[in-house]
Amino acid sequence: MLTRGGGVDRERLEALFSEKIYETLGSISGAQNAVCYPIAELATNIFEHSKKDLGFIFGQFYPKKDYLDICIVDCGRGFARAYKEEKELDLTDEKALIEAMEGNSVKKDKERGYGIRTSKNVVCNALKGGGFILISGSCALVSVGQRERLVSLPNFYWKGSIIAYRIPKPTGSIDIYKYLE
Amino acid sequence: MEIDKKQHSTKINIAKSSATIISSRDMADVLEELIKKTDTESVVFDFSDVKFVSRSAAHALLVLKERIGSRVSNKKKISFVNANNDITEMLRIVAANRALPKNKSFKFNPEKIDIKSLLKQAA
Repeated sequence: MLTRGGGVDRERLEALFSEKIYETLGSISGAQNAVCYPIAELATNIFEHSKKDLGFIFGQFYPKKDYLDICIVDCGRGFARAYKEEKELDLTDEKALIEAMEGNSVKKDKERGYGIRTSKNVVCNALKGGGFILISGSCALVSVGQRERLVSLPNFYWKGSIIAYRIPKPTGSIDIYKYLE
Repeated sequence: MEIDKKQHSTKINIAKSSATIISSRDMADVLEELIKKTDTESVVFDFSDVKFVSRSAAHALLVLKERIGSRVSNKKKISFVNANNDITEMLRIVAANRALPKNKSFKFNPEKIDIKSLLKQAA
């Protein structure tokens, strides 16, 4: 569990989590960046955007299958409401996810808006064979490799956001910089 | 918190003041509070033992550096030392983007599908 206002304690908890994930994946030299980057970017978004003081992060390794799943969840305002409240945009859940993936941040700073897309790119492309799911409201983005699908979920609604991704065990050094824009 | 003060400069050890992996923008606020306690004109952020800095945190650190360095009163020069190759690269990417922002017109055109069709494809 991650809480707002945790200051240095929260940072250290996140660091411990990232280190544990890296160690579980075999501490492959040159792969720590690829493991840490999406965790850092996506967990920080809970406190930057959700307007909630609590978020959750979970990891599960499957040793026989050599992959690891991570899930980062908040029960905050979700993407569509964030755009409504910060930019007065009335967007469907689908359009809100597209807007986020196009890098249009709800923050005023023009240099913001890279975290989700670049994290997805690191998971799906840099970490070859990774898969990424982002859910907010009644819409999900499912990305595996180069394939991106936006899925409507008419009988499901998540108030905040759920990000779940699967990364294969790295086999060597990974260059994430070409995916960071 | 570890601060080492020499004559004209205060060194702040980031790993000891914060964590070995710097993820959040909040850490810039933590470091700013430490800077406020210094009375030297120069502050050095020592990244020894820091393994990774996220893009968001790198951006917040660079904004902090610029803001503190351009203040009219109580201006301080902030520098970064002992950053490993990965942290250096991250700071450079963010700094380059600050100096020359990329054209952000990126169109995202995913395939649209309903859940039943997705599950059929996955089966």
